[in-house]
Amino acid sequence: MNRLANGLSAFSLLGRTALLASVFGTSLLAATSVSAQEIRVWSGYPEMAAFYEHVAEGMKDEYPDLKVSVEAIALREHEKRVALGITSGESAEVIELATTIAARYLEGGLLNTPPADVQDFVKDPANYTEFFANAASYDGTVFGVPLFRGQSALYYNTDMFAAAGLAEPPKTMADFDAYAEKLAQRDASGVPTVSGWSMRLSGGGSGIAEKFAINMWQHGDELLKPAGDGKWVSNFASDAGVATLKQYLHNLFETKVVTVEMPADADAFERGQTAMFIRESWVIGDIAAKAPDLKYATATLPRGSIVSTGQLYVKASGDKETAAWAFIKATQEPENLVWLLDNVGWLPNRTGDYSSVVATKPGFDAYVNLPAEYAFFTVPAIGPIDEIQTRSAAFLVEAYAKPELAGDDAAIKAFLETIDTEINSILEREGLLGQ
Amino acid sequence: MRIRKRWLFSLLAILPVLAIFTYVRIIPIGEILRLSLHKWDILSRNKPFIGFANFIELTRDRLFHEALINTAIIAFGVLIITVPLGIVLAALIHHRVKSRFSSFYETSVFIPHVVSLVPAAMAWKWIFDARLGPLNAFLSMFGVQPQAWLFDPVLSIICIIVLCSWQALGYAVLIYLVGFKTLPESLYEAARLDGATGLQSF
Repeated sequence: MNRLANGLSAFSLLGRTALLASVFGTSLLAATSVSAQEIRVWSGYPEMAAFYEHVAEGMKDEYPDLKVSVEAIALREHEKRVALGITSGESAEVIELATTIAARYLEGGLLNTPPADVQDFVKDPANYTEFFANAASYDGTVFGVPLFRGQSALYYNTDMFAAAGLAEPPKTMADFDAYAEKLAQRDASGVPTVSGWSMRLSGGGSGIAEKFAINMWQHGDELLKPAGDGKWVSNFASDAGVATLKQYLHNLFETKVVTVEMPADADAFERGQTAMFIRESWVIGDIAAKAPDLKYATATLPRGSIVSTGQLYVKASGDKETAAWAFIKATQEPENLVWLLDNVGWLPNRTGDYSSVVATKPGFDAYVNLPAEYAFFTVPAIGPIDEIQTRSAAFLVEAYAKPELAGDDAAIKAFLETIDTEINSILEREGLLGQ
Repeated sequence: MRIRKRWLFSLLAILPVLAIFTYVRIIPIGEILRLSLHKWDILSRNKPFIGFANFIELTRDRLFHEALINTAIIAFGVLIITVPLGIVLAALIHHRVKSRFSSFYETSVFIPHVVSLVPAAMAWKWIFDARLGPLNAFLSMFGVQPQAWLFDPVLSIICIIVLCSWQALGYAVLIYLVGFKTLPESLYEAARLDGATGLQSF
């Protein structure tokens, strides 16, 4: 009996030793396999390069030989290289993609399925809300790790507001029109030199449609309405759509507080060429870098905001895949995410304590301290969404050059119905058109 | 036999180039044409054959029609400007060939043709800028209101015609100048003897 007990004990000890060795050996092997790798990170936001480099720097202690090469370029170019890179097998190992863009790659099974521990990490409600976990999933399976989101707020020049006698930011869309009229500055011939409200009126691409969607949300509706069973219907010609386009045309051609050719967006705001505009949180870091003396504040929008989520995905195999997931896990370290918010300005998706950043940069207040009834919406993650937004943008740019539409509700509705017809034909082509 | 050997030699000589041309041009063109008959967005796994559906969709596309019309307007606009202007400039340069500035005129007219389109477009974009462009500044001296040259649907087409004509003019002048230089002088002498004026001779 003693011999048996001793034998079992020895066996148990041997077994435990073997198990320990295998775990340690695997960890060592993994660390070694990660450490000796070179991986590339592709991003569509040049300002994110600093963040990824910061994360890579922080990994040096644990993975001294891991080389991380960050390639962050403008978004449209990034989308093109991802399309070509993934299909040709020449892509980076870590790819940052918005939910809507990732959808088409996930449909085609072109991105890696994360290991179980990463999937569990994303599904853990302590780490991410259901919204962000779903944004990183496709067909019920987690494929990416949520990193940051685009969420809109109003930026306004407090000096210009004070000069116009405006004590607080606009609370309704009607306020926006009234404020813009008071804030616009004009030369002797009446031509606006400082726009009262900078609106996205040109520049091509889907951004024009996205900004229109944000304003339309404030009027109570969205561009594409879900029709059940994964189907959608274009909704431009709804009351909200008409009200939104009417507002654009009113500001362009009736009160003339903004023109198509005027400087716009963050650059114009930083140079004092516009009194207010709606944009994402990255502007806070941009203003700090380019116009640190600018007196401005942020405010929530009347009804709610768009949320565009960005995730990190992997397209790699073998040791490179292991290294890629290790890098992605490192991006989710709380101190890295606080660094992201503080230094870059994009809002981290992981639940955490970011109060230290909000305390020193009150501009983030409009992004994190939200009214209870604040309503979020997101662009549907369907394959043709980019085509839909780009097509819509082409129509909208045309509308912004038609002064004859201003004030004519029937003509505006008829114009928006042509957009609906076009968008519904795209949805029908893709088998996504509902009733 | 000798002729066949020559043919064979010629064929063998151009075969490598033909092979490369076939690989980089003909095969990709054929593949694109084949793919155009399928529904595929580069990413999807399936590539169902759909016949001419893509082309039918294209012919019904409003933006495609607009692009065709705009391109046609620009092409004919450039033609209408460069052909007559090219002839006139070539004639002026040709008939001042003895002038010490004739080389200068030839070079200055041809320079836009060799300038890369990207920096040229940026320079013209600045010229046509609605707020800071020198064109609007110049026109304002005559009381003309600043125009949104690059944002107005009609004016923007005119701007592109101006840019393309500016670039194409030099080449047209060169072609016509060569033509003028090959004209026999005797024709002009005969015209002068018949009492033709300079314009009539032209």
